[in-house]
Amino acid sequence: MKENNTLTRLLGAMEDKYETAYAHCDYPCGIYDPHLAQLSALTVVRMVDLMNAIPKPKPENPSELLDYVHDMARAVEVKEKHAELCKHEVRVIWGDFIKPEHVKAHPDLHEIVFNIMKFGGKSKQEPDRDAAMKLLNEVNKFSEIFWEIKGVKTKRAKSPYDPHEEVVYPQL
Amino acid sequence: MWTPVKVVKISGNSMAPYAKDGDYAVSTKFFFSIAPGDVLVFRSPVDGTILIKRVRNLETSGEGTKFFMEGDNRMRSTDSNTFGTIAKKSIIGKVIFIARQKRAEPA
Repeated sequence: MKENNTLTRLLGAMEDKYETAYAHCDYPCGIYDPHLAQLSALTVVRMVDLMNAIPKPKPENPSELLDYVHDMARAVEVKEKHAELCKHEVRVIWGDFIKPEHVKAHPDLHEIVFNIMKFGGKSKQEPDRDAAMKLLNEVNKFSEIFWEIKGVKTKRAKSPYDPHEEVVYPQL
Repeated sequence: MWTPVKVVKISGNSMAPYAKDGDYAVSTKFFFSIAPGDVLVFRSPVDGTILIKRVRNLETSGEGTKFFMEGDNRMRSTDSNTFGTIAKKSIIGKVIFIARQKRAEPA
């Protein structure tokens, strides 16, 4: 398979007619864990709770209004970031780790991922605790499937910190 | 249009140094066998994208023979380690020639 510049030039003259074969560049490190997706979903729930708990400013007090806007902006920013992070983490596991045989064994897997994308998006659009909880619930289902594929048992328990909602933990 | 020979342009460096980004791979459907070490052009079982990788081993079961594909540059390859083995029907061709792009020699 020597370099052949004449042939390369000839082939190059018809380049528009060729399809591309990808020799993908990626780093399949083999480290996959839905933990970050779960923490992100929990964070989204927590941010909605905090947004509802921020004291409403009195109209006659500009300083309170400034504090309110400031605290609300920070909570929204964290909610946005973690909803997107949750979606990203699930996409990576789904795209890089999940194989066709896993989908065959767990036929609802694609729908769960689809729901995570949808509820992640809705959690960004609105301060909706119901959507945030649905996001967390779908991520929990995704995590249970992930650990089952890995042959690791799981249990559900309430997070020992706010918002004290149910999360899937691997029993290592 | 069906042709016995298929030329593809390579994008990426997971097959470096055997084939690099921008090279052309000439492959054929006419082959008698596939063995570990052969380089194949095939469709990804995930999304149908055309890929080029080397056969690491063959896995035979009741469903027939499947091929475990890996890039030569394994730290830069998305391959059977991530998308699983491929079936024979996914194979577009066995690479018979790499036409390399002329590159500047390193200083």
